[in-house]
Amino acid sequence: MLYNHITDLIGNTPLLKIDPKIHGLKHIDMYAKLEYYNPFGSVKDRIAWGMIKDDIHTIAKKNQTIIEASSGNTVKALQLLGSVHGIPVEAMTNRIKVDEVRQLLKLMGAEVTELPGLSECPDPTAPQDVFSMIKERMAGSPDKYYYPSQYTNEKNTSTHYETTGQEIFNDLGSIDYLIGGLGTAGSTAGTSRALKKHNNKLATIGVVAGGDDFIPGIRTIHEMWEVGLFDKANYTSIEEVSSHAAIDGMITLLRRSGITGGPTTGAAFVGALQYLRSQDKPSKHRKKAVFIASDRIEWYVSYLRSRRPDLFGEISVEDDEPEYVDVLPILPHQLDRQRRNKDVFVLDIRGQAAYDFGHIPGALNIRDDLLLQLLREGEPFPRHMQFIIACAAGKRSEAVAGIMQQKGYEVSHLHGGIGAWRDAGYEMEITTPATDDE
Amino acid sequence: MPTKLHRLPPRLHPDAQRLIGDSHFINLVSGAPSPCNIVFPGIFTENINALEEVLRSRLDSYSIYFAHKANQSGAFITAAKKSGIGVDVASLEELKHTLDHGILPDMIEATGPKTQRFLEVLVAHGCLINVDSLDELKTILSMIQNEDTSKQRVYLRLGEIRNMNTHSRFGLSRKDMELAIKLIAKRQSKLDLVGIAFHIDSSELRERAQAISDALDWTKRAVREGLRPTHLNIGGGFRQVFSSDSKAWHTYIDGLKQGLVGTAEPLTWMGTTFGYQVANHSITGIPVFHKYGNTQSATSQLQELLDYNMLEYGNVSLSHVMNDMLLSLVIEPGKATVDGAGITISTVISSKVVGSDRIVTLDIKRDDIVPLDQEVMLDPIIISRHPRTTKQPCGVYFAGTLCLERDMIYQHKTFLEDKPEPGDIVVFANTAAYQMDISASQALMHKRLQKYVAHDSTSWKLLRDSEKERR
Repeated sequence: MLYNHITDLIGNTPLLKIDPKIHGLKHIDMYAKLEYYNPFGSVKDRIAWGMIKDDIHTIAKKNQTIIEASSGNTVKALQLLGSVHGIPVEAMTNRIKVDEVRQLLKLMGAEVTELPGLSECPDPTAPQDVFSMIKERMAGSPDKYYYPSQYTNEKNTSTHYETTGQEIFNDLGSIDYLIGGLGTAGSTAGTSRALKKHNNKLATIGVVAGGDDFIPGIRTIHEMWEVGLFDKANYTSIEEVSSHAAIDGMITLLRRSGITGGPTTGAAFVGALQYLRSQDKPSKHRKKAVFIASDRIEWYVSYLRSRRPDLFGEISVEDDEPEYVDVLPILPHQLDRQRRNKDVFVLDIRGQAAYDFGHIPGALNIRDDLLLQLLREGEPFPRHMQFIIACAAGKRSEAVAGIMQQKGYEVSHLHGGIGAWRDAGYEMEITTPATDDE
Repeated sequence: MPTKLHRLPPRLHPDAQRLIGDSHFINLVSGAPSPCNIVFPGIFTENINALEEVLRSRLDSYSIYFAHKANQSGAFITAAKKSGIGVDVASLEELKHTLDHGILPDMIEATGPKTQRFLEVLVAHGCLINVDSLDELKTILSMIQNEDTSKQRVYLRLGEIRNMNTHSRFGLSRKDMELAIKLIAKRQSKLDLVGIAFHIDSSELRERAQAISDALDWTKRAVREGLRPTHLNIGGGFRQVFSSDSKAWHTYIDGLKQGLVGTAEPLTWMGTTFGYQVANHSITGIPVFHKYGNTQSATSQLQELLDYNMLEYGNVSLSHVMNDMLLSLVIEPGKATVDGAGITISTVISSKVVGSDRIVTLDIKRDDIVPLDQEVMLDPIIISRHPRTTKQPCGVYFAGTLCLERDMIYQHKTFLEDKPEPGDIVVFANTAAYQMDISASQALMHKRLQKYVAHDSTSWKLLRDSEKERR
């Protein structure tokens, strides 16, 4: 299909029916509105364009910079829309908690100001919240900025009214339930307004993160106070979903439906089920529910890894701890005598940074996990070599030396570790970098 | 309209709970002691043990300095001594107080801006000095120039942390850090750089890890200049758990915001906004009060930090990095060590209706329990002198004894099970961290509240704290 401009790709996203075996509802058909099909990967592409398109030529002509409070998807979309139109974009945020999002924004060339976390000593005069920071920055250079203000801009809502809501109606006719995560509240507010024209009994369900939990892209109910577009009266129910449940829901959709939505999509799916299970009763006609799949899973790998290491099958190094073998311990003063012997090699098994920071003069550095890998795979050293294994405190060295001894090497380990060596007053050698990096 | 009871339930340590639940409690505090502060050194020790447990299980070497500024009680210093931890002092008076309680000079660290006299006494005793500016370092050097004593131990406090959009008024700028390290390297016979230090207010895990990573780079920098730092001081700022019901707490705040936008009954005195910016039906900005609804304890926060994966160190935990680098981790917790370890007792003087509000006046003033005018969002506990059979639930504003309209103990409404009567005891829970001491004044010649130490033997006893008397 031929397109002439990237903005032509925004909207008209697919609607996918979810297999009833996956959601388990008997009288309700469930559909996902796959917003990640938008060109920059999220539902925010619609509103980013919707908020600026009428003014885009004026912004460019006046050499203005677009400024916005956003933690990810909106600034991603604004940045790309800005750069194809030659307009710089600045994002102000204290909410980027996901490393990939930060890195991606850098790749895209966005200028992001991240505010420091909230002080434990509250000070309302300290401009720590994004909205006052934006106001301050705009007041500083009055004509420089164009501020779409996604949390209060009515165009956020009306874009969804005109596009998302209409698209769903074109595909399904009137529906009974609309479910979406609450960030700016624009997507659920606008889409439901359009769909209510056709069914005034439409139930709109907003999904938020539970308690103090964190799901990137949506807010907790307490954080909704900052959102000018949010009106509680628009919602039949607000469902709280934990990050754990959201990720489980996301994985279910991923593995069983091929839906590559991110945590917010999982949250919307889980929130939908939470509400719809109580509504699943026989009625004259089958009911229709649509939830919004806002963006893609790929941006959130580090978030998922830190929340759910179990999903990545990660095992820590400590798990392959070897069985105890009696290894000869040697003391710092003995090591000092032996280390000058040509056949004796001191192996420092700590990380490289620690080694650089200070080590026993002449020691070689092979990190424990690498050394163990070498030993598993073969015989990395000639037999005539003798080894003294050293770690920080003398625990890990004993275990590693044990494995080498079982392999037939002549080996001992430094009792008390390099800490004992240092504390006994022996010299520590440091690695001086070739060029000074400070 | 029936009063909707919005509650801010405080968390009360079981020991404090037992004390105020004791049938003799009213007699114990009536008359002389009330109003007063009561501290529980046993709870302090419990907190220290819990922090140590986390540190011990992960680190080869660590130390804790109790930040004295959180509370002036002598009982806590004595408890610190028993626990074998150090004390972080921020003034000459705190230093003297600490020495008077038998803490050895080499277990004392001084932080913050320091006067000439304070520095002289620190140097004379050989206490560890956390250097706050380049000028301070030069002053220290001039003091020891001609002295033939052992080396003065110092930390350098990093004030400007890489990639952090914030400037602290404390510590050294990056340029001054360079100069300070070079200066110490030149004067190694006089100065011993124990390590790099920093303190950040934020509880954001990533931010703290970022600061640590920067401090580690400065530590390496010092090593390249020929110095041998052995410690890394990451300061304090560990959280407290104030609320017993975080959900209720947040519901109150929602109610407060509804009051501010006008969709529900107002919950603040004279329309105070607490620094919120109110517009149409949204509210932005940061309130002047703490996150009293926090549920994360200091120990779990510390645990998360020590287990944090340091990407640039091969994705191993912070504790692994510290151990590998043979660096001892130093923390300076203040509020976390006294969390739950103190309560404030006051008595109802009068209860009257003003306009449509009920004002309950107490025999203390706002500054006795509200730190730096930052509202405390927690319910006090009322102990009725004459318990009544029919309760009258009501919402009240607590007012203080000063001749100022502003002397409202709380500027938010507190909802009570029953209408308080003169003579009823009002207990403010968990006031040991800064609340008791940092703003307490002697306005109108009111005496500062006396501190008592709760002793639990066969029956509860309140003994005068060994805190220095001030005039």
